[in-house]
Amino acid sequence: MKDEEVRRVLEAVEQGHLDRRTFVQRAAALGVGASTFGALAGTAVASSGAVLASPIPGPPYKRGKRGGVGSVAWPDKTVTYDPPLAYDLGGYYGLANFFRGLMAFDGKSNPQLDLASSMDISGDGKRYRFKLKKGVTFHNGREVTASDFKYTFERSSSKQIGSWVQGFLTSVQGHAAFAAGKTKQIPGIKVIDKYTLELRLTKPDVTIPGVLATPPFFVLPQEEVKKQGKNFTFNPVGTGPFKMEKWDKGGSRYTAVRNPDYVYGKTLPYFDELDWQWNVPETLEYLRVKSGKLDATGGNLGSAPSIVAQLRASKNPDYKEWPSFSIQWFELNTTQAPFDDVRVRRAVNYAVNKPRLQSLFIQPTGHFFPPNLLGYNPALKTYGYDPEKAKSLLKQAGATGVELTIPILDGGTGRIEQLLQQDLQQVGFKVKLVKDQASVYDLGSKLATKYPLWYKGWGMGLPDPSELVSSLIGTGAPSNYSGWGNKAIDKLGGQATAITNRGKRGSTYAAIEKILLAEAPFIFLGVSTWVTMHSKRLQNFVWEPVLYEHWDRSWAS
Amino acid sequence: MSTAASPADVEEFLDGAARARRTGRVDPVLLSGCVIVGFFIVCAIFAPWIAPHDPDFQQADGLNGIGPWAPFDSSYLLGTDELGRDYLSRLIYGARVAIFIAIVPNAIAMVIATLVGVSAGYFRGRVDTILMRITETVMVLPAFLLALALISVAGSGLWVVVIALVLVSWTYAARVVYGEVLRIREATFIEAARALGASSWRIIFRHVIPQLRGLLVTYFTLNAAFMVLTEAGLGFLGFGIQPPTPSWGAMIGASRDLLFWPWLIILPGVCLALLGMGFYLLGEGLQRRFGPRVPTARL
Amino acid sequence: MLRVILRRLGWVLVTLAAVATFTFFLTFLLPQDVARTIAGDKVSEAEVERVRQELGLNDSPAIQYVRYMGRVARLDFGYSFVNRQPVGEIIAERLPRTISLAAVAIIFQLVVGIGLGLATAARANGVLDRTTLSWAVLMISLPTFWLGLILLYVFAFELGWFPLGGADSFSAIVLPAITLGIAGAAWYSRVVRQAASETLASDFVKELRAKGLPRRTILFKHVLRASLSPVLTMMAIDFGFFLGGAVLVETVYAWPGLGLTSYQAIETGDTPLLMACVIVGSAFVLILNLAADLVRTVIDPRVRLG
Repeated sequence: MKDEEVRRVLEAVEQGHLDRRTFVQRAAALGVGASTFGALAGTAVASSGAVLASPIPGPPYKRGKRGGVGSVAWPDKTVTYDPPLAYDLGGYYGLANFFRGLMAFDGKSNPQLDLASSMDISGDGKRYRFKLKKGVTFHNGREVTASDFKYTFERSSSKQIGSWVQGFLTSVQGHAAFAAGKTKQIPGIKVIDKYTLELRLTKPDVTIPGVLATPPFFVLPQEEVKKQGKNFTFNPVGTGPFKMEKWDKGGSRYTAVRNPDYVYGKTLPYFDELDWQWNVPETLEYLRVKSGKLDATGGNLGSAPSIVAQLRASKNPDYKEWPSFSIQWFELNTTQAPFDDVRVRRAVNYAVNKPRLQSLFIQPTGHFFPPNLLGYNPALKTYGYDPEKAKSLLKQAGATGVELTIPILDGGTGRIEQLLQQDLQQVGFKVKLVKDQASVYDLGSKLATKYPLWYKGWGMGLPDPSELVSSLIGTGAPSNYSGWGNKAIDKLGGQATAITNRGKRGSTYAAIEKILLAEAPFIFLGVSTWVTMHSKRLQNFVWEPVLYEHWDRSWAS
Repeated sequence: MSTAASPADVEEFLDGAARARRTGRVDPVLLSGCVIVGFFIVCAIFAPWIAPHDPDFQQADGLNGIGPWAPFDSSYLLGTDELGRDYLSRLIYGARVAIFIAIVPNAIAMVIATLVGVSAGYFRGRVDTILMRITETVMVLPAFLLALALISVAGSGLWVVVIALVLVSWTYAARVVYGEVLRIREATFIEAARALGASSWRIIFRHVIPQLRGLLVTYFTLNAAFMVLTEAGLGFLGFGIQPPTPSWGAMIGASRDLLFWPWLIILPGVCLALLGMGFYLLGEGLQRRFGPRVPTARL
Repeated sequence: MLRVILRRLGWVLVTLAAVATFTFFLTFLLPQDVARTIAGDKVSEAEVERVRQELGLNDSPAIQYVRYMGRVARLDFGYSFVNRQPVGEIIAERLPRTISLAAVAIIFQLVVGIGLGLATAARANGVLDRTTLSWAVLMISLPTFWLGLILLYVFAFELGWFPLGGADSFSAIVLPAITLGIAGAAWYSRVVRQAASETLASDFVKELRAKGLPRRTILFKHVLRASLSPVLTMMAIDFGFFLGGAVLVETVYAWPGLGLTSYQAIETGDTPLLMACVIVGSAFVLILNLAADLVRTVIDPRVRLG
């Protein structure tokens, strides 16, 4: 019995769900020393231990130099800094500068305690109790309390706001009634006292700590959101390391200044000011960084292949290729011919010339799950490049000479669409490309009414496969526009979040991906290589694979 | 001590054709215009025979592991693009789009301009006031922006581009035609026809329009350059003819983020500049040779 | 004179109303659920219906049209589909950038165009004249955006003389303004040359010369004045063309003006912003056109404001 419990605690440590103190407390409660745990757990604690030793969560930070202005430029225009609505890259990346939550990622996508001083999980795994750090204030000077978190979580889950994360807290008691608009609040989010928040779940959910580390759940001050209304989108008031100083409505940049009352304000952040520029094409970003006029490139330089080719050849130490959670695929409209037929869906998967994708810096895994994600099974059979097989499948399905229109969305380069066009034409489709706009607020529902298939990229915010089920592949999931659903996947997905054993959970997700691949509601491509570059003077630049950068611990030499 | 240009110098310069006629040689401006435009027309017509490869096909050996082939580095003479397509073939086929754009929307614009200009200039009165007011107002408006707005709603495609280009250019031409018609209608042979009881339409088609021929041909040529460059602008922004069909402007636009493979940007730019120059020279040459001088309007 | 100006201003308003109608028509034709776009894709149907009610999208097209025109008249262009900010405020921030870019570009093309035109007319068929002719034809034929990319690479990156795009420093305006103005400068130089040559050959100038006036005075006082009129005529109808060029140039240099805004508005399907750009851009051009016509009547007494 005790062994079972010990294993469970270790599991939590491994996933970063427990901080050092709770871990020691729990270990003591079980009557074993932390060292015993270490021995039992082997590498797990050793690797987590290094991170746990740091009093400030997030990736390792070093003693840096205070002062100066850090600058970064993004190719896109930012849509909003309202956390649950920030959908575009520039906006999403900006969130961690202004807001913080109960948990934070550590640079390797493991959640750690941030504004919470402790996290206590009940024995049955159905109750999470968080103690808040005292004296943490919003940018407006008011202290953060537990009820702010309740407000924030309910806001992000509401259908009125329409966030992409509205399916993330479904395991909390009363979530379903709230989502349906039947209740005004979620009873499972309980304010115990000013500094204590409890989440009561209908079933165990191990993804909770990770979910709370994603920016859409970073705490907001209720009174500011109400007071500012529409303006809140660009006047973010949070608890983050930087405060919004000024921004221009036309969308060319904002300036944020150091927040001296930041929760780690004695040490971080190092920069006095952050200069965040928008609408700077990749080429200009790169040239500016190279000539020292900019500190970092925002977004993925990988979308500008000649720059990456140049960087690779130059062996420049200031550029990095990061393993990413950025999934690339074509979504198929499965409600209509020809893609209502699984044989056609498989055929188009066989038709894609996978090796060719590398020229666009897509690692052609043929999987839906990124390789470094829990549940990724390298042994799983994927669709190879086999045009002959594609042709015969199409013949079987009677889908020959079908005409398809593929949209090139939102000023995209159209490269990947042209690759697919050729591949599909090789197996007998007639393919036309048109330009269209859709993804501002991911208006996928519009796409499905107009096109049989379209390109989609998804940067994972929560480094856990549960996000893929709850957002993209579950039946009726908020960002699933394929019209496709599978009962077995829904069932397994519901079970998987409750499985505490990581290995077992992994194999459940592997089973989900296996069904997904067989059913092929998408054309699976792979993951994109994420390429960033920073200036020589910028130190300790850390890109978090779940789409944020830890600007609070970078400095300029 | 040289003084200001003598009238003779000026005449001489302005009328290169006169010198050409006197010396019995072909006007070099006209000749170079003919050669350049002719070259691209030949490319356009015979593209399937001239182009070494399918311009839209992403060749299996079209990429070298790092990126596309640079010019003269492989069997692809002018290299390949980032998707591994033969760039020379794309440039040759790009001439098709350019020539099409130089002719079709241009011709439509000329027809509209002739209708408007002739009606206003011939009938005068209220028709004139209304038509020319509209023409002058539309001429002043930011036509490119209006065309973009139209494309944003109608979606981009060949015919939308044609309509947009017509929209952008008919007004200038209409005004030029109008001015010329005002001059022609006072001519004695028109008076004579009218006195003989010819109907207005008969006069217009039998006497006025034939008189406009020289002007229209010259203007058409000059406007062709404008058409090609404007389509290139639309293509550069991504609103022109849709990929994979090669259009020079779109090729530059698609290579905007590929600065370190400079041939992808430079070559289509050179083609555009050459063809644009060819049309201008041709127009200039025709003007010198056949007159009348097209009133100065920026094209 | 005042009456004429007022009449012209009235015509400007009528034209703007026509442009606004055109934009309304375009927006109305758009196969798009406006309420859904504004509310967001993942909100409940009730929320979408609330937005639809709020914006009166259930009313008849005629009522919507009247309301739209009323709002435009009050310079209320609604909210951006993309960042939910009042479009009027976005435009207010972007328009001055385009005005400054256009101003510098116009000054550049006037100075270079007139200067070269006079210089070449003074020494017709000289070396300068011949080179200028080929230069002019080349500059007119070069695609603006292509030239912009090349200038940016050479002068901003390789040589580092100017900032790499953006509008952060004063010198940032140089390259975009040259790119935008160079074709115009080429045109103007030819127009001025032609007009100046004709004036130089006129009896009037012959008389002046016979009177023994210095060449410099003749050139800068009389010939220049006579040549300005055709340039202004061209300029007056040129502003619209100019704004089109600004879309391309601003895109190349990431210059945050009206042109870049319109381009992005199209890319992202931000219809209210694009329509406001079209209306404001047209107003901008119409007013400049009127101003140019006014200046022309002052410079050249033969011209009358119609």
